[in-house]
Amino acid sequence: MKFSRYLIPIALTIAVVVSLTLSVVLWTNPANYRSKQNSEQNPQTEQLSKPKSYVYTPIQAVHTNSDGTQEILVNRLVNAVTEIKKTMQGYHDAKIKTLSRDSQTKYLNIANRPDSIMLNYSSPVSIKVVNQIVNHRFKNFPNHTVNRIVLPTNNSTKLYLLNDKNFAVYQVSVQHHDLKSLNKVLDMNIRTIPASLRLFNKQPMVYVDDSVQMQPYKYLVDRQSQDYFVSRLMNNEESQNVTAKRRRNLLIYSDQNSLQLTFNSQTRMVEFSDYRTNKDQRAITSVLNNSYKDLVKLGLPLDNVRFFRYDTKTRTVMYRTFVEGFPIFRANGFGTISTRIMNSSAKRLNFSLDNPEVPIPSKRGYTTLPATEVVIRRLVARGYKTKDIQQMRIGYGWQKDKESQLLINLIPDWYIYYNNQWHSYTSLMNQY
Amino acid sequence: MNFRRIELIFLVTFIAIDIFLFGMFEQNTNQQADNMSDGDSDSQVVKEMRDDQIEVSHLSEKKNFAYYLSGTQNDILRQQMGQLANQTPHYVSHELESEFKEPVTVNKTTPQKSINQMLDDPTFVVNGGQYSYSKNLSTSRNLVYSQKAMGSSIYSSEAQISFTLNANHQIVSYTQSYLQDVKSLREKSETISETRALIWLYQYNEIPNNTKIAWTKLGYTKLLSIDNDRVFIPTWIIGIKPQNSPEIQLKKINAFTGGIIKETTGNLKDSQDLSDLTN
Repeated sequence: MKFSRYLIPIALTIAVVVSLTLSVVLWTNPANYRSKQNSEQNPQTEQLSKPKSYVYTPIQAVHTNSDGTQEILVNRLVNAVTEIKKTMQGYHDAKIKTLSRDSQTKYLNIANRPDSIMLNYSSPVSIKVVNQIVNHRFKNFPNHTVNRIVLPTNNSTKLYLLNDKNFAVYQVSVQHHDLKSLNKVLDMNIRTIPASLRLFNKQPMVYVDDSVQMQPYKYLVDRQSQDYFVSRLMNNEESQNVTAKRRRNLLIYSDQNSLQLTFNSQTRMVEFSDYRTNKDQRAITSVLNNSYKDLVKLGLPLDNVRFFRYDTKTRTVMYRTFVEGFPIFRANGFGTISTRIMNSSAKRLNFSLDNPEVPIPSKRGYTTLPATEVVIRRLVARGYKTKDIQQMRIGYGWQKDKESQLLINLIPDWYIYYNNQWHSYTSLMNQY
Repeated sequence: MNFRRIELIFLVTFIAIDIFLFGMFEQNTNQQADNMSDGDSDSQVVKEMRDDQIEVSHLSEKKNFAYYLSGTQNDILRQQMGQLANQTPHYVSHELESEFKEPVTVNKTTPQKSINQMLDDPTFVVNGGQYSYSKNLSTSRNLVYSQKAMGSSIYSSEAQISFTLNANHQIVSYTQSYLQDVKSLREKSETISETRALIWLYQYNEIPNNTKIAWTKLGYTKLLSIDNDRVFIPTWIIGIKPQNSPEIQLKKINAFTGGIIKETTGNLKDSQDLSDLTN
């Protein structure tokens, strides 16, 4: 009797507790449907887009020998930077400390350290971005801005991060760098160009010390259709009704609301404007992260496309396609894709429908490019001001092929960042 | 008494709620399991393929590295065919056709072993060391050797030796084509995995039901010709065998982009659109 009196209240309590527990589990369970949607993405684009660690990778490797002489490692059968990056994936117990700041001597001491490999970004990035290429081993570091990584080839516990702007040197201690595989990279069949890191306009720059032989290339072009981008970019839930207007060379698609896509049929360049509210970011890490998302959404093949420059003033991120480790410059110095944040309600993407895909044997002989110092001397003799030359690098100029619209020629030349624009050395010399 | 009844009603209601919640919980976990396997969608698609009566053995997920290659078609074979002994070679449109005066006897069960030993002999074939046996392309009476390139082989009628055997296990003749100066056009890059290649082929609807994936191979196939130059791309070559037929069909997937490759013979300069060439 006594037992049956308590039976119902106990059962009720259990039932209540069970229902409460189940409710809590169900509410807190991240059983979201989003992952399902994601996996429905076109598998092709998912596969073809490259990871962040691929796009935000250093673009040049400079080796300093034990006698202090330096050389740029040029890709031939392997991508030198990729091979070096592979040896940087297993760091443990990474710790960072600031060695010096505002001291050119100390900076150059580390940058020109004998027995080391220096990986260069063409534009400063944050340590959070570098963290991507070292398998997230630097994730707890303060987010300094850096643009060079120095890897000693004879010290397995130290590496250095450098910032050109304030000559900061950060020392990272790790357990430990696999020197054997790092040195093995140097034995691969890699072409080298004699070089040296020196100050130019009070900023570090890699000088090419001697005239250099460069091979011109011919490339088969991947010609994307306009429809591909209309369906990818103008697909907005808010507005279904996309209109197209033609104005001379321009074909403008608009959703009458916040998206606009403009094709130029003559240059085959595309501009995509997004007038929806964005986060209006300024910090380099978030700008680059966001820009990468836009890149993936765009769906252009990112084969050999690398981050080239972030302009903090205009908030423009430029990506370029690289050949043999050298960037391609199109007309007006444009690269492959650029993303730009204009303000909190406008973003812009520029890209081209034509992009290099397959290299073709070129019958042209090698081109000889002069050494950096010779280029500067000749430019100054032509009346250009040394202080307006901001950067110089060897690159490939994009030239249409006369025989087929499917082919382009890539012509080696020096590229000079002069008055905030990239010009080829040849075009600068032909002016005036 | 009244209180007891209320208690009873509450108990029944809560048990009902529990059953409902438990049902929801079950459903949710199932869904998650679904999502999980979606994340691993490759194996899902392979399962789908098996459901379509396509016989697939174990597939590799490993990504490989490969190059863009080029080679030149020229008349080097004609220049060197004078060194050949015991045969009468003819040279017709970049191809060397040769008949043995005295048929060459080879091993009955593994004829390729005998040929492998003779390949380096310059009086047997020209540049024989640059070819390797291709089991997938060979039959019992016709042994195919493909020209080697950068750690792999070129699958092209423009770079192979094909030996013809008679019923007495003797080589009676062969045809040879050769590309000179095979070199990489660009640094090595990552290719898609075997699994991916097969999945895309399946998703392009190129694998009929009731078939068997006989073999897959990563090699080089011709993308295009420009005058005498040939450009090769890394390709997943997939042999598909219908269940009720001995004939094997070849399918090709571009190992860099995942696009399907259809046969093309045209010269680049005559083509108007890339899709003519690389589709």
